[in-house]
Amino acid sequence: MKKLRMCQKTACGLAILGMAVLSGPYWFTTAAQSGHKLLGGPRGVVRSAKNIKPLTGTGFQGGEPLEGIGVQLISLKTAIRTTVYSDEEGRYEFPKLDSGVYTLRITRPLDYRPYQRESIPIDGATQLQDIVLERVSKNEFLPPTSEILPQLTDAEWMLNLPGTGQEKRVFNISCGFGCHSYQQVFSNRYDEESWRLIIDRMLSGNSTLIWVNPPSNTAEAREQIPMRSAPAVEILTKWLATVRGPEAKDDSPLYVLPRSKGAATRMIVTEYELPRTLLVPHDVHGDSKGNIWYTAHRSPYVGALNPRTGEVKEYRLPDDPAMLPGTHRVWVDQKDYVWFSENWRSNMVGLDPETGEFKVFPLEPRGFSNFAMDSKGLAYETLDDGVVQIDSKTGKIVKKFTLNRVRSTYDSIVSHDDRYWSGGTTSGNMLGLLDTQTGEWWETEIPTLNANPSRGGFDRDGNAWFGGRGGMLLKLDTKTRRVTEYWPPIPYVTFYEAMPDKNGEVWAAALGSGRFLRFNPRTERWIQYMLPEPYSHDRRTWIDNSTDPVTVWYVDHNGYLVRLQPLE
Amino acid sequence: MYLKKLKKIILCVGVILALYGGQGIGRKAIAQSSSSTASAPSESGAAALRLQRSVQIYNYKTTAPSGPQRGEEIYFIKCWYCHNKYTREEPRGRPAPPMQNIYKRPMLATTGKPVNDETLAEKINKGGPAMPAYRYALSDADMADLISYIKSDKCCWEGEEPPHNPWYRY
Repeated sequence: MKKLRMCQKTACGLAILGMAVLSGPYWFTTAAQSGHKLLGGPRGVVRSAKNIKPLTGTGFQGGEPLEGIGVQLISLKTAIRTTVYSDEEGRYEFPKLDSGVYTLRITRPLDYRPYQRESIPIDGATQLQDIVLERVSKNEFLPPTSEILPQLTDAEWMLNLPGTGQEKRVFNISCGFGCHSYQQVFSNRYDEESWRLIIDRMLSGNSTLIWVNPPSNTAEAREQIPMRSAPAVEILTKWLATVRGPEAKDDSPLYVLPRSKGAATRMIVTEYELPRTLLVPHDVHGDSKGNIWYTAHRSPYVGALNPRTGEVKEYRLPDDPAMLPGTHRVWVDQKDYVWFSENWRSNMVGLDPETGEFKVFPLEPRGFSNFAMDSKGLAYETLDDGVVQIDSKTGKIVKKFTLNRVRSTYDSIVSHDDRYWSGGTTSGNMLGLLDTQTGEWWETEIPTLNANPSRGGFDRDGNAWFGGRGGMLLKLDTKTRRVTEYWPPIPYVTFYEAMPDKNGEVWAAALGSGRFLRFNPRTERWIQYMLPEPYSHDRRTWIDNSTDPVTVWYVDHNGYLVRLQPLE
Repeated sequence: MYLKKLKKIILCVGVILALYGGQGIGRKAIAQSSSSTASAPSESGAAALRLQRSVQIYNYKTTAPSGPQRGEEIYFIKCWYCHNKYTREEPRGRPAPPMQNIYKRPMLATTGKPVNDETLAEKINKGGPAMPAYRYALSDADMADLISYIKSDKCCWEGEEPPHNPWYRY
């Protein structure tokens, strides 16, 4: 019997040894994981193809690991797209993904030939074959082909088009408000008269694009706004008729921005499909169950994404045949009741997600759009040349504060202790700050004339942050009432928003850069996270501060919902 | 007796080794083959970019590669901002005429010509006093898809029922 037990032990030992020997490479692979709690899924290496004929002198020899390459797996079952980025050794590692079949591809290949493989079975920490990429050019400039042009960011379009500094700045300020991409402009050709008609209509549209409200944005009023004045329109028209006129050609080699490096490669980007297209989605907000709510700017449909499955539950707001449907802001209150602004209709709309019932509060005077809500359920907005408090139980304005120079702001933000309101003038360089308890208010000028403060949020120290459509982040120190401008390290970008997280770092998509920026005010360090698309058309960031590191959400204007998970 | 049991145990070990070892090799082989033999070979060129959203958006192909569905996307981007039912006033006068049922009208309001594919394309290409000329902005294929949409019963987009996303899986 003893012999039998010994034999059994020996056999077990042999079996384990055999497993270790025969499956050694698989185990080794598992042991070589990064160990990061967000990772542990499929992994591999990206490197460049070797040139058959070695180059002499300067040139690309090839065969080196490639850093900052976006590697994407698309689930056949859910269509969820997960993207990670190769490190300086060319290595990449996905989070744990559901077992299934995926498509593997490289995002925005730009200087490399497109790479895509279908029907990849994924099961746990699948080791994928090396991705070997071939360069499209022997130097750092890229051919302006029909494959590469649609991969350019707006900032890269601006880099590569001819024009003076004034022409490009006027275009940036006038057309970079976040209503559309520059790609949508530069993919076209029109004659001068047609450009004039388009510009006239866009700049005189009373901020509504389709003129649903009586125009207050008269020619006289526009003359007060430098970038919408007649000289600005003339500069824009002449420039666009030159660089995007009937004879304009894209025949010059292209220069593009560098890829992510170092810390910027340590990010997981997940893209979720929405049930409908042409929605022009606008804002997001998370609820306590982990669902992410979004608004659609040209449609009565709103929805809530379940990030665990990729499934969206749609809701349709009540019809009003006389007015354009569409929602702007969404805000989930502490009871998980969901609030929307129907900005075209100037309605404040509440939704009970459990019953699907809406309540609609029409607000006068018109203009209900970028509201904030405090912990007591009071909504803040600038209406009727002042800051108003709206009781969300009744939809009635219960208090009004009149400021002096800051009569209307794009956004309304409320501090974490409910005490302070802040907002900035849509076109101009003013920020307002209001103590809602005492009624005391301050108005502060921003040094840059066309700073155009847009949306933002308060940090935990009580400072107000805004994205500047003039191209910078803005901090209003509520103690000193001093404004600081922070300019990003990317040219030709604008900001629709800036949102501080629980650690005091500020997240903001640089519009037109295809990059999400993370700014640390203490060190003034910027991290540029390159996104899978040339878009970063974010108008509302929602940060899940319950995770560590934080999780950042936005919905792209181009129709998909995005989750950003930094690894540190 | 013990020898027989030992033989059975060794046989079992051999089976375990063969099975597990084989599985290990097999899994690795599958993992490798997942990107070599079991899957389609790497694609290149424009075909390999069809999942890059920006390429589809650039070419108005997020909903369909061609036909009236693609025409709806072009209509939304190029036409709807003026030719919609909500606009009350335009910078240069009255709102642009709606496009619904335009083929049932006797003539084009601005040119007085009968409504057909050629006259409509001509109007879109040449524009007018308040309308840009699209002759340089739309290709022949764009125009064909746009007109096929305007002719269809689905025209015209007003936001109430945006098209379903062909990529959405639920």
